[in-house]
Amino acid sequence: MREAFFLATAAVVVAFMTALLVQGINNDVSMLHELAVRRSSVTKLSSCADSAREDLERYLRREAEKEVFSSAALGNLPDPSNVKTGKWVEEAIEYLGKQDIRAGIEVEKVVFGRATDPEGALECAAQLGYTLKDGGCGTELVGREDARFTVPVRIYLASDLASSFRSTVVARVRRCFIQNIGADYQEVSRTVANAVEEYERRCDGMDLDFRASVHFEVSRDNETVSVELTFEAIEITDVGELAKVTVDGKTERVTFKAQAVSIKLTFKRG
Amino acid sequence: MHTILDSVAANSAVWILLCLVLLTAVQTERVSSELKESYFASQAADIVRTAESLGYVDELARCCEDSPSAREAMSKIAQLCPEGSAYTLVWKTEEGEVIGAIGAREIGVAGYVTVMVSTPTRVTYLTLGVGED
Repeated sequence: MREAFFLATAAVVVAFMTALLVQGINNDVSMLHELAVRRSSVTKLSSCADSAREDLERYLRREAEKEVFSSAALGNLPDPSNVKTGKWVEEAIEYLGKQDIRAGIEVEKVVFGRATDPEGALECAAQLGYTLKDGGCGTELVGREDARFTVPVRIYLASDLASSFRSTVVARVRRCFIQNIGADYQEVSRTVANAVEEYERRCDGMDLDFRASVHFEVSRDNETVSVELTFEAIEITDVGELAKVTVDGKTERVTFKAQAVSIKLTFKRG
Repeated sequence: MHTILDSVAANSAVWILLCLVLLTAVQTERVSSELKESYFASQAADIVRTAESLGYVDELARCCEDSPSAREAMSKIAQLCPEGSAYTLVWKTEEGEVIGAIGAREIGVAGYVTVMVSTPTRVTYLTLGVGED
């Protein structure tokens, strides 16, 4: 009986010790499990945040390209208020929801600026703010990141050249009449043609295609000489290697079409 | 002399021990596969990040309507997967319609990463799974 008692006690003690040992191992295993789940969760959150930022840049680039294309056709500089991000934010939240992530996303005002490389191109910047919470294990990721890129179409440079061309023609015609009030139609025509040629050459050297059509009328009376210059079409196309935009799936070149402007110059006779 | 009590106690102890050891083995196996999944998921995330930085995802987004070009872009992304690992790359629409898929259909233990790819016409999802060969 005594022997049996010892044997039974020993068996229970061994079982208890084993239970303790296994419990310890189980705790370690649970901890590892927790770590693995958290690691997966952190990887998922950071990869989703990266994906959202990259996709925002992709989306904004396309919208900015569309805006450059359509504003250039009207002779305007691109306006960032025409770039809407509301739809993208909704789609990003839906994407994150499908990854079992509750998300708060905001895109701060999109800003357009002049890039220095290529000179006169468009630089776009926006800030993405996000709060991502993994529905699985409650891990949270809060961040704010910049999306910044360049649309390599020299839209600002084209706008500058259009303005500069107009002021050059006006200044030269004015000088022509100040030097000689009796300047004739031929002289004005030559002045305008020289300016157009000069700008064509200058633009050609910068991989820009310059086209301009300027009409003028000279009228005289006893006291004054008037010249009415009409800049009907000034079109500058960026023909650079990179200056292509995608609009509705088609690759296009951007042409800045300055709006028609009439300027009347009046000179008084001596 | 052994009694019935001895046998019952010894038997119980052996069963308890066996159960616990089995339970631990099962749990260890599960955690091991979770750790592997986590490792593969971080590997997949790195690959997608590299693909983004190399412009492969942009390229893919541009050729949404052009299957051969899309397949080419997907192959470029797949080539970033480490040698000796199995991968699956699936490009789907928001509604779940498959636009393109390359790689293994089924991978045992794998980590998956899904990224959002806005194309000129719609929103799509690209899922990369990396696992053991």
